[in-house]
Amino acid sequence: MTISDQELKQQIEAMPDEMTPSRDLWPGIEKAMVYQEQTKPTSFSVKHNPLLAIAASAFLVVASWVGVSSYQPQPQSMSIVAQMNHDFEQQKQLLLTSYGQQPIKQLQPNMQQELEQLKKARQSLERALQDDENNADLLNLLQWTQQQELEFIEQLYRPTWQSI
Amino acid sequence: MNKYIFLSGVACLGLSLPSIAGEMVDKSVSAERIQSLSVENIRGQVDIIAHNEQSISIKGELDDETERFVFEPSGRNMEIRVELPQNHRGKWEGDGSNLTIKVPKHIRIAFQGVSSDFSLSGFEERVDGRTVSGNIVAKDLAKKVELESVSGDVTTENLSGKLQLATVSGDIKDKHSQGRMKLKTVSGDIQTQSTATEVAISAVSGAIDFDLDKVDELAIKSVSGSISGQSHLNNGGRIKIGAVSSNIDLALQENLSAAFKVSASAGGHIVNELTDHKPHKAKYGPSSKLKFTTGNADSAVKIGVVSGKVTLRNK
Repeated sequence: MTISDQELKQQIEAMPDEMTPSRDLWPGIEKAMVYQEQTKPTSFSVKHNPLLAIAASAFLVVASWVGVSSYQPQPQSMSIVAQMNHDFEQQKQLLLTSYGQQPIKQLQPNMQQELEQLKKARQSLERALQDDENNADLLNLLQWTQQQELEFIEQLYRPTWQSI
Repeated sequence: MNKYIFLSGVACLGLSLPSIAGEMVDKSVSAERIQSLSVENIRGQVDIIAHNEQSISIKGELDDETERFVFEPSGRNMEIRVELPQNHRGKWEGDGSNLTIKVPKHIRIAFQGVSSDFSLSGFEERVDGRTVSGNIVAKDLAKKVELESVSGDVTTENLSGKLQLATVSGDIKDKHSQGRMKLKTVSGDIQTQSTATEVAISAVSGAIDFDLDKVDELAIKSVSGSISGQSHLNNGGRIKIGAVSSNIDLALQENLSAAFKVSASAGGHIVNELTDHKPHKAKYGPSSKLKFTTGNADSAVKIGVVSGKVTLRNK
């Protein structure tokens, strides 16, 4: 469901300025604060425990390395089509890598033509989706076309096909 | 008698011998305990025929390059395998096998080959087979049928049950099938004349041509191949066609009671010969839509195309 900016503004203005909880929460907060005070661990300094300092440093180095290596930049507010294309390209690369990145030019000309047709079909669907980005039928068709391309690549590089 | 056939068959099973290339073979074993048959033949022709006897027989000539021939039961499965020497990269000399296998009709069949052609007929149980460049011809099969060839053709007649036929570049020709059917190809053409009530067809660039009797559900998807055919849509049924640049020509029965929704997203063209309703062009952009109902709109017809032409007409 979509609402206009005007309607959204009206709904925001109609909202109350403050909200009160359904029951009094202060006694619970107070109790929790007292409990924290009682269970607070005794403070210590790394000066008195050099091994702990080394372990902590090592942990930080490893954690930051893992974090950096596993980080993949995701474009902010990616559209559905962009997300689908992103996923598709990843799957395609994975598939081609698993079959040893064999060049497409080595395929039979009619098979190259099919791949080209699938690519063109994807592009024309993407263009159509630029005008109507939430069209479910077009999105389904794009997904199906991408799936056909992946299945086709899999069939082309399967050893049985290579044998003929 | 059956025991005798079985024992004589077992006596003949020492066929895993080398140097039997091109030999004639004529064997038979009891099928009393057998539930399924698997056939592997790399090249040549294999005919698998259902018969009313309780035996499995094989007759014909083995491949000229046969290294080992297997004809033996493994549990409740009967194995027939013509093995060729490895490392030939598909360059074997001489001719392939030419075999006729007769099997009781209640036995499940599985077969596979590389350039071998297969023909099958008369089975009442599941049939599952694939070949790479060989052709498959299947007749009078019931239950679940799955046939696949990469570049060969798949030709079928009188199939029923749950059917799945697929190729990459080969053509699919189906006649008088019934039940639930799924046909799939990349660049091959599909031709079906069927009484199946649930039909799903997909192609990338291959042409789809269908003549369906009465369908409850018809789903077609294509990238660029033409789609043309006729069908009677049952009350409460549904037709859904999605294509990118294909031209679609759909003929339906007169007095069909359905809700129609046709859209062309980018430069596509819609022609309605069923009623006087005209497509509506978008104010901005190249898309056009056609929405109308006939009768009580009991069924649904939904067609979406990006840049192709859609023609709706009466049968």
